[in-house]
Amino acid sequence: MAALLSLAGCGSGSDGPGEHQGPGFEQELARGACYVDDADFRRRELEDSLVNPDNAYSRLRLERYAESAWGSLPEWNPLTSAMGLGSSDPPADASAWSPLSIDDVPWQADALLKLGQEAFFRYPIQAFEPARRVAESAAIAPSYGFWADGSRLGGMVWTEFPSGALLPAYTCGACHASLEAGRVVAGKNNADLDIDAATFDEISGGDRVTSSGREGRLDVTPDGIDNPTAIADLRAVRSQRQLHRAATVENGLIPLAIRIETLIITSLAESARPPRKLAFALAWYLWNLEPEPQGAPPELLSRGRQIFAGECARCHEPPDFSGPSVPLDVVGTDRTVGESPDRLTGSYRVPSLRGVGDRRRLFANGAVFDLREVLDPSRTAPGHAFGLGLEPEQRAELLAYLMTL
Amino acid sequence: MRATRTRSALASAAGVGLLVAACGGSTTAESGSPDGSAGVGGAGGSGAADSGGTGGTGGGGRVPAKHRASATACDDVRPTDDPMVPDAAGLPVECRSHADCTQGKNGRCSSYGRGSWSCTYDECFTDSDCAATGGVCACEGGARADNNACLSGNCRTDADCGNAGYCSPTLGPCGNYAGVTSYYCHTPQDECLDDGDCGGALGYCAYSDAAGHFKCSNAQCVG
Repeated sequence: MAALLSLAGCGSGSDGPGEHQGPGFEQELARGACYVDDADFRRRELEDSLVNPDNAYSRLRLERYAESAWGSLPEWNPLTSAMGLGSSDPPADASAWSPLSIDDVPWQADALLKLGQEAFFRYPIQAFEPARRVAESAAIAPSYGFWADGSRLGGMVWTEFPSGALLPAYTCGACHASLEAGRVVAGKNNADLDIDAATFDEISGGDRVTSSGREGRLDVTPDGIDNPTAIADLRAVRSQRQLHRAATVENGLIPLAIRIETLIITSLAESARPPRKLAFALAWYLWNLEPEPQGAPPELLSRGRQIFAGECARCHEPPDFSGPSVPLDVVGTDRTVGESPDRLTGSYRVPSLRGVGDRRRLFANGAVFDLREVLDPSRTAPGHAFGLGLEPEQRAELLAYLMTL
Repeated sequence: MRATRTRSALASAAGVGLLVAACGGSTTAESGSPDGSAGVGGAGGSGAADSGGTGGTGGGGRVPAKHRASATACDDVRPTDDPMVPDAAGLPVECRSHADCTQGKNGRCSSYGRGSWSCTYDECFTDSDCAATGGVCACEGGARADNNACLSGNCRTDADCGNAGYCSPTLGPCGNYAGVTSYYCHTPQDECLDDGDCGGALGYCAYSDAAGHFKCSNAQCVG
């Protein structure tokens, strides 16, 4: 790792949107090594990335992201086991349990990518007791929007917690992966996941809440306000200017790693922290995900591109189709998520449109289902009036172009 | 008891042996015993404790504001007035009146406060009805509903937590998302006894699966 450090040192530098795996990836890995090894570097990166140091999210991190606080927490790499469908009990066979192999992974692009991918589907992020019930049968899981990978409950793992308890837990993959035509699409937000319904059925004893009305959404902010936000599509994370709907964090590979690290720390009630090598590997994996452009009739694309330039590109700037955040009043969509005191910046981020063609649950609160609804002048969800005045033919042309991003 | 399936159980499966802790207890009803006695928050307290074993008080001898001294049975009374289910398009509605809820005991058409309406049922009246979870039967303790619900955890009453031990309710890892989800014994490792030990208005004292004891948190669902 020392050799890599010498490539760039641990000073500040850009790894923001637009720098993909390619010629510059060695420098990105060098900065990753700095993140793992250099506390001062981590702290600088954190401070530089927080858009509003006064919201609760920032304040907590500015207070505790230091070696004397969260840095002194024990590293946590627990035994986990896949959650099989058809049983609500953890496997009794000890051979079914193992931790992630982290220390042996060389600091190389492909090896870290592989570790990140494995961690994405195996590293526990938060206990979720209701998954016992979800796992009872293959028929139950999809009714709550959980996806299944063969005989396994997708993105969920049995986890040995430090207390000794063996509990179901989310990994990243539970919320940020989908099953498409029998194929697991990593990073794509699970727009069907109904955590509310699973939770209420577990605790309220109901057989099945028909629907919570909140599929693909979850309240994630500790602000005492009921403000669910749409689960993010992570395939385009590299192209985002900011992280969080409320544009709380300036994006970059290292800020993303810190975001992941601190997310896990807070979800574990500040009892432990992930190995930083693992946090970076997760960020590295996400950084290298690619959305899958959809097909469109070629005869519509040229005109659609022109319409995009006139209607959309001022905010969704190519090549990342993202841009500086926009004040809540200008966006005009539901303000609840943006006004959370936990993440307040006064603005919503401009989401990258890369991969928007098959993205589901759009707007900060997931109020519209897909891109077609965004541009539908008859939609009831307020805000984002851009493009609503197009004629039907123009709309079709714009949609065709957007599908290819 | 669901949440007490432990490393011991895994070790046993591996041929190492050991027992899964078990809790006794009989019936239900939370008994808060605010004490108000002095003492600082945070860790401490005497008494040897581990999950399912004897419990310490934590907090330098203070008594937690919420603990379950004894179990009592729940009544079987639920509201009889039908809900006012709005006739709005797009709402997920499973029921419109209590009469629609016939698949369990005391079925009621309940709103979860989030725009959906579903049937809820009393799934227990005493702790002994909660054999599957091994936990407390929480009277009107359903998530965002007033049905009786079986919770998880490692105790049902203070007696399960050893001499001078306390069995307290706790929020789950998602905080107040689903209300009280389980009951756990306090231990000498606890870093808090009550929410008041946790600073700001949004901090709360909860059992942490990651820590294996009560500690302050302001965590919500991960994201």
